[in-house]
Amino acid sequence: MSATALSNIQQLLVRYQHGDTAAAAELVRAASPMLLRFCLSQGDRREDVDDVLQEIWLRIHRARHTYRADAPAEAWLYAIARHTRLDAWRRRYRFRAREVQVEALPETPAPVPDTRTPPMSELLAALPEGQREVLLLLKGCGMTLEEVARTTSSTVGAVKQKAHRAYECLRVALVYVRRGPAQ
Amino acid sequence: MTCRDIARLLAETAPLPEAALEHLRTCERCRLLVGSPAPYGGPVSLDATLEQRLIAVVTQDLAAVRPLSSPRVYTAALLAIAAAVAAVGVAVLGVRGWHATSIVQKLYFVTLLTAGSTACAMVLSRSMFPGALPRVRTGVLRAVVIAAALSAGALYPLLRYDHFARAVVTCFSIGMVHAAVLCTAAVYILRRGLVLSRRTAAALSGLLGGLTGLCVLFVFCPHLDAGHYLLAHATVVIACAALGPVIGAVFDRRMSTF
Repeated sequence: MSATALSNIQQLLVRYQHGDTAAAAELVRAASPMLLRFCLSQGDRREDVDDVLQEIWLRIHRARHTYRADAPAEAWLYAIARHTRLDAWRRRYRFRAREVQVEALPETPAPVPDTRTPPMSELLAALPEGQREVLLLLKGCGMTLEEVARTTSSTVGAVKQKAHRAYECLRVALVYVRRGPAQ
Repeated sequence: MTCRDIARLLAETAPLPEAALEHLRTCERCRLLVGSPAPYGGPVSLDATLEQRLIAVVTQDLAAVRPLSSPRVYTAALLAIAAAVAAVGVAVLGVRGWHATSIVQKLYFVTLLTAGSTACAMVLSRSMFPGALPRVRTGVLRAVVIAAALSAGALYPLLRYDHFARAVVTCFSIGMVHAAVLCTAAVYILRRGLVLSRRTAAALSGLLGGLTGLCVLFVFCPHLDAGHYLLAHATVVIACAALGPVIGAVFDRRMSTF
């Protein structure tokens, strides 16, 4: 997200607080793609993401008075989105824990081993949740360390540490994939 | 153009400019990021129906709202409430403990209670604002305050007296009652904002409540005994810090709208 776009979102949020309907609609158009990408990048399914996105905007609407014009708009939006997503995940988890499988799944052919470099999604899926989230916010959403710390309600030092560990894990995974296991 | 610029550009829907392509020719890491499938890179589209639905969500009953005051205002409010609860408690129970303690004990407790309460109130007030940068980690703050409260046991001598158990129960109850009053009042303040992590906020409220209880007990209780202090006074802080996250988790589960 460029500085101009961010400043635009910041202005739209302030006008939204003042009850400007046009600004609210414009804000949805401007911020929804980045929120959608954020949810998708965390590994959520598209059909679930639509509901989560609606819940995110509902929470943003209810909590619009908590935005302060001197605070970064991106971190405010992502912080709400992150917690809404986590709530949705917890709810799905509780649902799945009580689900009873009534039909056996059809047998699927064994996957063909792929010798090429695996896609980023697979490499990221292997990372712990916290590290993956930090990495996606830093690289996928283009946020700074401070913005990620604000979004995840963490300190800059903790974010740095998680990012460093995630880079190390990815580096090891890439070396492993390209050269094979170490002798 | 740097790797960070590339990451920012990838978060946008527009195609990459020439400068970015130039960077990609030389940077393998960014090439990997760009080459990864959406949503890790590249644009994502929003369905028109969904967009209309989202616009309806934010525009229905849209009214002007007044932004929350600065976190400092809420820090001051929380500290004022803590001071008021402690003052009422001391006014009812008396100041026998204050007269009985030494200057070293007074200095230690005033420093601990002032610094601990201020830090708790500051972090707690920031939790009302989504995206606010926490200056201190909640776990670290809790550990430091509990360690400081326990260390104060070294300032008291070991004594033996008859009504030890009764005195412990009485003091612990007094401390917990004051902590509960403070926590209830803190909830009313926190409800003005949007607390995303109720568990963390409850932990901090509990800690602030525990310190308020400790303050009342320090001023009121005349028992200058290490055993009494550790079992009746310091445990108020520990119990509140432990109960807070549990209560927060229960609320988190019940109040989750999703």
